[in-house]
Amino acid sequence: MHPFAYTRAFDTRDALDAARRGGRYLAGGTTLVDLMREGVERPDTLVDISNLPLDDIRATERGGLRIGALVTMAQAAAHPKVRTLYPVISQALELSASAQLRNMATIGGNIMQRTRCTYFRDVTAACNKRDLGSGCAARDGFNRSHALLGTSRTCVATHPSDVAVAFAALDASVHLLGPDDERVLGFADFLLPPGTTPQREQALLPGELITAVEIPALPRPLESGYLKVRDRQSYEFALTSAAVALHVRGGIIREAKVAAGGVGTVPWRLPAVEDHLIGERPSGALWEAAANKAADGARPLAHNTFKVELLKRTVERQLRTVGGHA
Amino acid sequence: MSPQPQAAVGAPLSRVDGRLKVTGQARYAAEHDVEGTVHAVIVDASIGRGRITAIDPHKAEAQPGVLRVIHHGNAPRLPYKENKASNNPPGARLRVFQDDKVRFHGQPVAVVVATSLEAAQHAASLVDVEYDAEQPTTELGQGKPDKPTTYARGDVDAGLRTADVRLDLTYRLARVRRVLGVYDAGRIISPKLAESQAFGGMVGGIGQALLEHTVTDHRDGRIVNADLADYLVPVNADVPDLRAIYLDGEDREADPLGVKGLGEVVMVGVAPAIANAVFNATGRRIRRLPITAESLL
Repeated sequence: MHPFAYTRAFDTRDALDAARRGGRYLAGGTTLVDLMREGVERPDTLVDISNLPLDDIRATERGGLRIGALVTMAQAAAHPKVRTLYPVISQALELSASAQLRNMATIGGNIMQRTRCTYFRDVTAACNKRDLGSGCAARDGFNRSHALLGTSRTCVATHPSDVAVAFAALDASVHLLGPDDERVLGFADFLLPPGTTPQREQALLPGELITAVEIPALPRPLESGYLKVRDRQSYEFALTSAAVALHVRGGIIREAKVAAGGVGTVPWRLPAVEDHLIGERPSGALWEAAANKAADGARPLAHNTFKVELLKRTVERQLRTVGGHA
Repeated sequence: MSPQPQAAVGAPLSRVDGRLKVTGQARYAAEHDVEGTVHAVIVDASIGRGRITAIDPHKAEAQPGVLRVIHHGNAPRLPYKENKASNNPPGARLRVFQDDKVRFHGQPVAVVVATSLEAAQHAASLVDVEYDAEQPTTELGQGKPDKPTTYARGDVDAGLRTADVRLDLTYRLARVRRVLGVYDAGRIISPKLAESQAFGGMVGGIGQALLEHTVTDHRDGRIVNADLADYLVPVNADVPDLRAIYLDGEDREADPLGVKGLGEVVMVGVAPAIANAVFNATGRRIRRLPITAESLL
């Protein structure tokens, strides 16, 4: 393991100062420390932010919900407001990782976690994300778990987070605090597809700190839920997943929010599916027809072709689960 | 560590069968001669494919103690009724000593029956078999395909039309809900140890059937999933209700304690049982493990 210095910040000013001097933020440590052990991450200084006052969940004046960056996955999943208003978030969190990890890992860290691509984590393999220009060992290697959507010549790795899929579906935004000012980014602008810069995964400026994730006010009633399909029943990343939220009034679907995980280089919104649903009456045939568009634009690799069909079926099943009319 | 009685650690333990074994007096299972037993030793084919052109049993039959040499030329014709319930492809069943065809290396072509094992073994080595050998196929890809086997029985559509109850089901993911293992392991001395072994085998079998797979990178031969994040073994959520049943009985022939082994045997049946359950649920005969989502889509 590369030697590093460790400092602890007790307010956001401390943290920003330490980051300005080149420090990397450390919260739950469940991704960063792993990657440091593998030699993938080699920070010189870690700034422990776990004592910062960013660990509350509160309703916003605008009628949404603000989840502090240091709220743990377990706390967010168990919070009564999250459970009742946004079951899709609770479910996505509870289907992630293990109980021990959910007690350590934070919401801010979760959306910062890096890909599980085995070649990214193997420092002897070629990986543009780890070492830009070295090539992509996954493209012609074993790529069963890799992405179908949002891939580029440089990178085909999936984004591993479950809750980020729910956030993407719900149009969440990310609150950032920089050395000079605060700003708010929509979730779609926060996580970056690889393009020609796969090493840059988030639209963070140097030293910027995530302070919260905000879910906007959404029409009520909103039925929502998360389905995760994976080889084993627990403690594993998704082959495919679907976050679905539906607002039905007067027997008509007024709003549909659908995103997929396990298939994109970032959590993947499915506008074609949403457009097919809006203005229609819920029915089994509608779910099937809408889900048929879930894999539009997919570019499968040698070992992940099955995900095209699996994704459609995952979306269809979750539309049935959330929208009824099975 | 669990507390151990101090007296047991380092203290000599005398095995009930120890003295008998070191003095050569212990009798093993094979040494219990039963009055009137005869012994059979198989002569197997020394070629991989072809026909038997001649069998000369005379030298073998002349040996003292030899009772019969049975081969396709003198074996009784057996009825071999069609077994519709089996999954054997039609006509592909091995009919022992019924014809002169050799289908694989080591196929039984004759059997010598004698009053002692030694006589049978020696006589078996004297049976003279001549073959008309053909080139066997050892690569699946080079084999000549047979006609595809049809397993269909009955008329599904007609059955559905006339059924009293119809269920419209969606197949989801292969998940194991229950495992029951029944073991003929002789006398169970430590039920707790046996249970641990049996359950361990069932869990290992679930992993083998549904999860475990070593992936090699075709470019450099390295193992791609050489850690427990990528090489999946079952976790608690994959392990359902497990039950083990042990048949009554002490096998004194196997061992003076009446025990038989309960080793790897606990795992061997699990994956086939799960594959059969998948077949039962989906009609798909999966012949490659692990059975993952892509094999069932």
